[in-house]
Amino acid sequence: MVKKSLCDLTVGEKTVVKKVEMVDKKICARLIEMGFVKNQKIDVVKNFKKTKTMVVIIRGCVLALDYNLAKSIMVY
Amino acid sequence: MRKVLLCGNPNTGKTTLFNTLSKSNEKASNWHGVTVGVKEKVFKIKDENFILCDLPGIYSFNGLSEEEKISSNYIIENKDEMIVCVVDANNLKRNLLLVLEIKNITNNLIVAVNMANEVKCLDEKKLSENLGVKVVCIDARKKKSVNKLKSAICDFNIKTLKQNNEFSGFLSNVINDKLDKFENYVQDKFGYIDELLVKSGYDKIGAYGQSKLDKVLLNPFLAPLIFLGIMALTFFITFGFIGEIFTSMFNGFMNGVAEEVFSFLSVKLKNDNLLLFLKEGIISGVLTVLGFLPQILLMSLCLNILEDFGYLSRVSVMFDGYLKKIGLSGKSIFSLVMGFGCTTSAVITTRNLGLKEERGKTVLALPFVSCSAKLPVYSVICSVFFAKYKAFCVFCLYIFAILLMVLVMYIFKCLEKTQNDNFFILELPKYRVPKLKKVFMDSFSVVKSFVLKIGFSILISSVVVYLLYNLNFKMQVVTNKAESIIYVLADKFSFILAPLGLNMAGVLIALISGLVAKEMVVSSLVIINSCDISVLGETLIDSSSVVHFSSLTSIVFLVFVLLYSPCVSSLISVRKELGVRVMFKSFLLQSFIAYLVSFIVYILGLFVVKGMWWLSLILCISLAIIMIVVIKLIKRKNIHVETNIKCLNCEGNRCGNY
Repeated sequence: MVKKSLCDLTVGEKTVVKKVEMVDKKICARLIEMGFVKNQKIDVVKNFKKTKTMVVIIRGCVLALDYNLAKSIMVY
Repeated sequence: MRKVLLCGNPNTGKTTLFNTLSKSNEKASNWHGVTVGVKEKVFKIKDENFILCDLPGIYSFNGLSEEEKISSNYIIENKDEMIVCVVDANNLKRNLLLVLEIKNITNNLIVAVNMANEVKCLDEKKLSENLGVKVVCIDARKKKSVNKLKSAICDFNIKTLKQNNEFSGFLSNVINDKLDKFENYVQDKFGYIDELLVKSGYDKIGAYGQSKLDKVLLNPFLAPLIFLGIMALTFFITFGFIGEIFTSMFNGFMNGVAEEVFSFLSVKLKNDNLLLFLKEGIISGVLTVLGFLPQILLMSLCLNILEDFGYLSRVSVMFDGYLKKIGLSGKSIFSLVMGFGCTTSAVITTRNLGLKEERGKTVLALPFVSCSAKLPVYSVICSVFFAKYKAFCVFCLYIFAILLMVLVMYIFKCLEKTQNDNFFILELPKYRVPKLKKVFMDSFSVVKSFVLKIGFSILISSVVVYLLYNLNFKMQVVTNKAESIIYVLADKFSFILAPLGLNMAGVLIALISGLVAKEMVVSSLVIINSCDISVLGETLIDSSSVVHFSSLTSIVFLVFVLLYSPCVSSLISVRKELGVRVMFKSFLLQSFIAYLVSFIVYILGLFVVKGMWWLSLILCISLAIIMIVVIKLIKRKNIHVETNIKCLNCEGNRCGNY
């Protein structure tokens, strides 16, 4: 099965977090604290392919994150 | 005296509450990471004094940035004191995670639910019962229910029942050993929070940040244009029609006051030398700088409105991708915008950036953002040489410096052998209508710090420059200024500026005094040309003056002032934050760039003045081609290094850890 990361999603898509895959444990822990835990719902609000940044809503909070982080968040 | 620690997630209104409780005027804005150090102030409730401590925002005890570490260490060290955890009512689902973490460390906790009036429904009593701590719903901005919080603080009994000293250690151990265990822990807590909020009848209006305004301000095509437009408008307000009116009104008033003071002193003092010293050394030196207060106030007002509105966070999102290309990140925008005010405070705000390399790069980029202290120089010179297009010229100077910053940082990025991309995650705050009172108070505090600076460093420096310019080595008053201490010394070294067409001892004196504080450049010129600020411009075009410019040398001088080393206080704050090496790097880099760019501008200008504009154009194109070729060569060399590195997990670059 092809792995699908958060940055592969388009604007308006709703999905659920599968896993956060990242070598840096502290940054990974920060993502978890921000709400990126298994089965958490995410709404994609913006996806700026050119500047490699995206805006999502998770746990009722609007978060902007770059592709470096978004591609380490695996979704279903 | 009992301590009260104000903590919470970033941008929840801790500093606003701090200001309300202690009647202070600390900087608070609608973006992440405004507070970067612990602030303390004594405040009184019912005859009892408390020390109120405002801590930088933290997400958890797993501190990533310097400010987060400061905050979490402070809480752990002061766990026996009372903690008020400020949470945003719009964002309880995530903010309460920190509350639960603090509960693991201490029971001396009160939860202040800020902006509670913005949610549909929240039962304070039920939340308090379910959470097991005192909960108070407040609105710090509108000062609603703050007295209730004060009573809760006053009536609170410090408990010593449950204090888990090992919790932060537990967190870091779990994170380092097994992330799955940590994820399970957080997932359990989120589940508990969701249940808790349902029981408390929590219902919010909807996720903020999805406003119609975001469709425009986060539009990939419109956003850069809007940003450029807003910045241009700021400059036109500051230096254009509005700025001119305020400045002339204020200067008229100040000159009237100065004349009154001087005529009073003329009657009281009989010593001519002393009178001259007071007039030229102190009064005109201070007046020179005070005259620019209206422009500084106008610029601060514009920037404070943007900050309070919540626009800067959107700018940082829009520019993150572009800034990454030059080694910075979207969060650097906050420090860079602060740099328009004062480089010293902007250096301190780099604490909210995660990685040390990122901080170092932002600090190196900051001197390219022209601080407000340089405004007087631009204002005086542009009013004389480019009077018709003053606002446009100043705007062009700022843009020129920013473009140069992009070029220099891009070259640095290309020179890096390992391309470490920074991570960027930022919570987008709700748009808020700026409160005029707060915006004015913040702007006046900028003006106040500017005036205080004049009171100390600039006044003393003005006196020192005046004395050195009027005394010879035998400590006698000189009539011929060429015999003065500073002139003799500066004259020996003025050849340094000869390649820039600025080989005047007076220019060297003004530039060196500008290292103490940039405001000193203009006040030194006033002292050296022995004139009043109102006629400084006229003396600068008069070739018989000690310091005089042609149109070309005025541009060269402006470029040099725009780019040369930041002032001593900025360099000291760089040393404090990132060490001596970065401080020297910043000083040498800026001095070198200022000299090189001014030299190029001078040479190009000379060709234009002599009618050989085509030669100037050819030189420009050649320089650009050489630069592009060099950058391409460096990049090609570094690509070979990069391609040998692959991620161990996904054998590619999908996970971003290559």
